[in-house]
Amino acid sequence: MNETEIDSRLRALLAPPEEFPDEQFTARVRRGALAEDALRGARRRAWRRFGIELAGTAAVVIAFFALGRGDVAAAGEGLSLGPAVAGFALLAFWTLAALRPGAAGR
Amino acid sequence: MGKPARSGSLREAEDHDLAWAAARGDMEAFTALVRRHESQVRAFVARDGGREGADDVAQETFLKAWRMAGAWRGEGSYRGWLLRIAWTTLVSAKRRRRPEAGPAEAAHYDSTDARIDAGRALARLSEAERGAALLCFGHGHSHQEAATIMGLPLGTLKSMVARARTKLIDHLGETP
Repeated sequence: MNETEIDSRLRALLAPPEEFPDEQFTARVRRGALAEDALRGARRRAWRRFGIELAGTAAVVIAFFALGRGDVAAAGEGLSLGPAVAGFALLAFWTLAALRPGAAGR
Repeated sequence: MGKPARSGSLREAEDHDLAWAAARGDMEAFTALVRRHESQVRAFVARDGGREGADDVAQETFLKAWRMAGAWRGEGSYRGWLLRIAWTTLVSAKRRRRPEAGPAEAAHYDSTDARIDAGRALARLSEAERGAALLCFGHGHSHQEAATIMGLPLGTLKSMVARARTKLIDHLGETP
């Protein structure tokens, strides 16, 4: 056999077998990809919810901290922000963040 | 060997269009790509890594391709890009598996005598030589494409192909 014949024989021997498309395999991959997408979406929503709840919790903690201090009232000339007002503002932030559409995956 | 992987062909152009669509999150386009390439990827994985677990590796390859669809840059053929993912997935899977699984089982993938003979011949090669031989002889990739797929320098790849060729010829010389 010469070089060309050898290479031809190797090509014929190592060529992938002719096969018809396997729809079952394709469907399995598609299901897997869709499942991964769904999982990724759920994970993203969970992290987002966790972030919002963390921020809300921090807001509540800050609010109670502010409420616990009696001398937080601003000494400005106009509106005076007392501890109770600060607390209500932070609680309002918490409520808004928690109820924001889609924020918690609802 | 050395034949360009059908660059510029209609099929490759369609692959590129589908790959760009998949990169934008088009599941139908990705499904079409799976349908077009699954037999080649599965054959490559099965012949290089053995039948056992071949479909799992092939499936993992396509799932990685879907995850990384946004990273597709249109450089080279889509099949080459897929085979590169398949190769890295296969190498990782082999490291996790028991060492004796692989070449010896490759012989059982195909049923005809010629295929069994090919399986035996391939079993004599090292993992990298087998991958190089399959890509260059079996799948018709150029040395450069095979080097890119396997992540090897071109010179190293050429040496591997030459070694694989010599070993395969030796085996063929021993068989009638």
